[in-house]
Amino acid sequence: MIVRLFFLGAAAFLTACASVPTDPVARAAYDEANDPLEPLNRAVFAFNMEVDRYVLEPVARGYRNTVPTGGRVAIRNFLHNLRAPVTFANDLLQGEVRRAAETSWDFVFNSTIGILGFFDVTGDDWEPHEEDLGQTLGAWGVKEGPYLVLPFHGPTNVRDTAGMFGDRTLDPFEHGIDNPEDTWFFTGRTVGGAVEARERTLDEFNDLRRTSLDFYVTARSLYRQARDNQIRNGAPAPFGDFNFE
Amino acid sequence: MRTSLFQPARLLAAALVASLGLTSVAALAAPKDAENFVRERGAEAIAVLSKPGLTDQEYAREFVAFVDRSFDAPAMAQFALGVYWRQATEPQRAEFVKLYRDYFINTYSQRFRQFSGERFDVHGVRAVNATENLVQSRIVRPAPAQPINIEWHVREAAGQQRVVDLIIEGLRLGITLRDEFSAIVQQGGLDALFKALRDKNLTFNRGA
Repeated sequence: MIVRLFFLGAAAFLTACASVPTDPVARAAYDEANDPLEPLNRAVFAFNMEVDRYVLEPVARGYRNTVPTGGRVAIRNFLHNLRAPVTFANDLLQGEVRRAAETSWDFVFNSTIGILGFFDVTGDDWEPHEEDLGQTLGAWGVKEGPYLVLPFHGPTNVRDTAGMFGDRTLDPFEHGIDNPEDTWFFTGRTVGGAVEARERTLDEFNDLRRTSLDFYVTARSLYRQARDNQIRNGAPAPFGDFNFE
Repeated sequence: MRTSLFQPARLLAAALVASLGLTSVAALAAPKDAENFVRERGAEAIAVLSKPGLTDQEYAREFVAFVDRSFDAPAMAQFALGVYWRQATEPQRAEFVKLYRDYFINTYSQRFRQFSGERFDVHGVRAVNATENLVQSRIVRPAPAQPINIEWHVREAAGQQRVVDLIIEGLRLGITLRDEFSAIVQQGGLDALFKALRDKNLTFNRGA
């Protein structure tokens, strides 16, 4: 049974691979897109869009309409604060001592005086940031690998998927996951994070979906640009990219 | 004493100093010009929006005029078409520039009209080369919304500043559109892209 499933999976994987074009210009565009699994990715993307349409977007809208602004800000702060240990570890892995200090300062004060992180008491001496192992690997020069769209999760790539699993081992808040009594916390955190993120970008996301010619490609392009930007910690892109001649 | 200035060596030195001064002034002036250009156009745009009792039609006309005098649509279109620009014939290029301009106007017309209660701050500039600059700005929105960072890629040609790209939170419009257009041209050629743009422009005009 398992063997048969494996072969079925392998067959599905192979048929999911896009055929590689032979024309040089088409080949360059194919390489640039970095998406050999495009047919499979498109199917998963379509599935995710349905989940969004029937579940995530209505819930996010309900969240916006029922929870007042102050409450939403507190929840955002809380979720951000929970990520601090992983951010701190990755700051250090990237050799960003200053940013590591900012992260730990925020975490210590917001977790205590800020009551479990619901209140951001450290003010805006610096912009709060988040790091993950995908960014660390990117900063170390690891290539992104093929683009992937994961069910329920959305756009990613091989490097960032590996990073996501690695981050779980770095995260002290994930270590109780074997205890069934704690699963509500992890589920709540994941679902809450998804709803919070969707609420924050309700207008922008829907506007982009409405105006783009091929939303799948838009999402792929934006994911890659956003990750490059995060890996550079928001520093300007190299000037070589700005060639308008 | 008076004639000493006209001694060849002095003249040469004076000319050199003058030309050095001029070039360095020109090199310094360009980023400042670009920055001022974005600041002025920003204020102008907000003035358009805050005109009381503007009908949809009047707003659309004002917005189109604003885009045409602030953005270099042909340059943006060419960049977005990437390698396929070279393959396109002259009539195809002309058609594409027109479709692109309409698509750009349609996309940002509605997005821009929702703009209210925000503040537009221009806070820096960096030079890309002698004619191109990136002007940094921030749209500060009422809490809890976070500010949006926008960089305006401005190019000077024939003494005129024009925006050739926008970079919103590190995401470049030109790159995003180029990726999208390239995927469509790959599937069905330039005709497929033109049709997609034409169809999209129609949905906007129907108010969808």
